[in-house]
Amino acid sequence: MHTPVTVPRKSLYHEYTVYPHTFPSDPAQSNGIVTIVGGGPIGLVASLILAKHGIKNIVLLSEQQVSEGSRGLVYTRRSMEILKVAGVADRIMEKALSWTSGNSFYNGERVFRMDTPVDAQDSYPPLNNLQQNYLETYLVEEAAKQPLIELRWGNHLTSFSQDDNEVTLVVDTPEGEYAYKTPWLIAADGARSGVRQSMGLGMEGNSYEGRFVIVDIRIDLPLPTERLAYFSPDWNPGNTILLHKEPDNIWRFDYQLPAHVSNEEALDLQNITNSVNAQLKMMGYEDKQWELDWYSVYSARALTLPDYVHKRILFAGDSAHMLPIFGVRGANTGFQDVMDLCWKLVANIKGWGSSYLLNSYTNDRVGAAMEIIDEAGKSTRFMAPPTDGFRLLRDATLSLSLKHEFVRPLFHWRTSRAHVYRSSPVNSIGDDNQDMMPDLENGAPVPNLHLSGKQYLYDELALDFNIIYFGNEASLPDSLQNEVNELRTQGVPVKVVVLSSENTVTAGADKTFKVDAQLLQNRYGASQGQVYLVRPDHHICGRWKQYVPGSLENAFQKFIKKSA
Amino acid sequence: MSIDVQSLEKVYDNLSFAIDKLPEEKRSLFLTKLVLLLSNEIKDGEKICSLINEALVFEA
Repeated sequence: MHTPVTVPRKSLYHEYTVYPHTFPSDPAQSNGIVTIVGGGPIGLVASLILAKHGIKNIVLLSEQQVSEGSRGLVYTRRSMEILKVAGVADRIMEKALSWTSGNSFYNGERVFRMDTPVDAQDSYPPLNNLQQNYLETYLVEEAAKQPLIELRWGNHLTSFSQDDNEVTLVVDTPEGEYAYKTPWLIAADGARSGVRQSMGLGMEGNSYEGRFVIVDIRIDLPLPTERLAYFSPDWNPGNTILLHKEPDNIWRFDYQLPAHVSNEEALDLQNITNSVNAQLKMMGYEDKQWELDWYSVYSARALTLPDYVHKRILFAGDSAHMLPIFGVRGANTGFQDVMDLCWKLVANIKGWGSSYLLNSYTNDRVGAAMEIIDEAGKSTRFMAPPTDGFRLLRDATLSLSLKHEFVRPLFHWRTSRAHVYRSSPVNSIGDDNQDMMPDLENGAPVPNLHLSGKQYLYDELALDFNIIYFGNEASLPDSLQNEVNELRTQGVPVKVVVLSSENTVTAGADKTFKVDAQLLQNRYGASQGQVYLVRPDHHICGRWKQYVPGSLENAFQKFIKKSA
Repeated sequence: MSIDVQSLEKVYDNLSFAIDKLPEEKRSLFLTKLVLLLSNEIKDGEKICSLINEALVFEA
C-alpha cells in the first residue's frame, strides 16, 4: 500500500496544502486517456499544454503535496513564454524576482560582470527567480480549473507494460492498487525516474566530481536580485559559491564541497551553519540574523537518454536527461521538451501527424540535450574543474583576472536559451533557408513582437502552425489560400498571420497586424512577399524569400499523414 | 627567423630565477599563467596548440 506523507511540509515562506488522495471507483473509465507520470513542473506543464490542445489527460502524482524546498529557481524568458502557453505566467510574474546581471568575485574583487540584454519586443525579462513550490502550486491550481485534466494525488505507478498500441499501468494508492490502459505515457518522473529505471535504459554523457550543497535561508540582505558567484574564497579554498535571491527574503547559497567531504558531513547542521556564517562574514554581513529553511546536496551530471520515444512511452525533463545547474538548465530544458513533444503527440492523436513527426521529438530534443551537455561541460570545467589540468587553468585564470581583461570572458556564464532545431527532421528542404537572415534560420524560434499594450505576437500564434506573411497587398495570393485550405481539410491546425507596414486587414488572412516598417526590417529582414512557416512551438521550419505556389505542400508533406 | 641568442639567454635566466623563487606548489600555476599571457600576445590559437603538442614530446 502506497502511503504518502500527509503532514504538510515545513517551510518558512510557502504554505503547503495536502490534497486528498484519489482512488477511481471505476478504473476502466480511465482507459484510453493520455497519462503523465510525475506532477513536477514538467509533468504539470505537459498536462496543461495538452489540455490547451483539447487533449484529456491524467496526471499521476505520487505525493499529496507539492515538492519540498525551493529546488528549481531561475526561469528563463523562453520558459516564461512556455509557461504563458500553460496559463500561469502572469501569476508567476506577480511574485517572481526578475534580473539581468551576474557578477563574479575573486579575492575580494568583482572581476567580471555580465548583463543579459533586454529586448523591448520580448514579453518577459531574461531571468526570473521563483521557488519551485510556488511554481508547482500555481500549476496545480491552474490544472484544477481545466475540465480536461485529472490530477491523481497519492497515485504511485508501481509497474507497467506496453505493446504497440497502449501501456498497461498498475497504480498503487492509499486505498490499494488499480490498473488501466493508456494510449500514451509521458514519463516526467524526474531524475530518479522509476519508468526509466524499470525499463533498464542507460544514459550517455558525463558525471562530474563536483558536488554542491544547496542551502536556503531567510535573511534580509540589502542587495539587488543578481547572480553572485564567489571563486575560491578563504573559507572554501579552490571551490565556488553561488548566491541567488528568492522571493520572501529567501537567499539560495550553493557552495561546492571539497572532494574529501562526504555528503553526510556536508549535510551536518553545524557544518552548514558554519559555511553560511563564513560566507556572510566574507560579504560583511556577519551581524545579520538568519533562519535555515531547506538544504540538499547536489552533484553535477550531464547525461541524456539517447532516445526519448519508446513506442508508447515518451520521456521528458529530468527523466530524459540530467543536466548541471550552472546555466539554469534543469526545468528550463524540460519545459522546452514538452513544448516540442506536446504538439507532435497531439498531431499523432488527432491523426494528421505521421510517426515520422512524433519520432522527430527525439531528434530535436536529444539534439538539444547534447548541445547543452557540451556547453555545460564548458561551464562545469570552470565552476567545478574536474581534473588537475582544468584546476590549474582555472586557478591561473582567476589569478590573472585581477589585472588582465583578456581572461575575464572565460567567466562568461552560458545560460539556458531556446534551442535552435537546426537539423530538425521537420525543417523544409528546398526552401530559401540558406539565402535568408541567418538569425532566423530554420529551427530557430521566430522572434516575438510587441503588438500593443499587453499583446504580443506569440499570444496570437497560439498552438497552431502559423504562416507569417510579410506584405502590403490587399489580399493573400489565391494559391496560398488554397494551400492553407487544403491543409485544414486534412486536419492540420494552420492559420495565416500577416505583418504589414500599411494594412490592418488582408483579405484571406486570419490576422493582420500593422507594424513599423523599420522594425519589420530589423527583426525579420522583411521584404514584400516573404513567408515564414512557424511550428506550434514558435520554431521556424521553413522560409521563402517569396511565396511560390506549392511551397507549403512541399514543407508539410514530410510529416503529415497522407489522407487515404 | 628564430629569436636572437641574446634575448633567448635573457628569457632562459629570468625564467629560471622566477621558478627558483617560487615554492614547489606555485610553479605549475606560474607556468600556466605565463602560457595564458603569452597566448594573449601571440593571438593565434592554432599556433599555441601546436606548440603545446610540441612541448609534449619527450626524448625516449
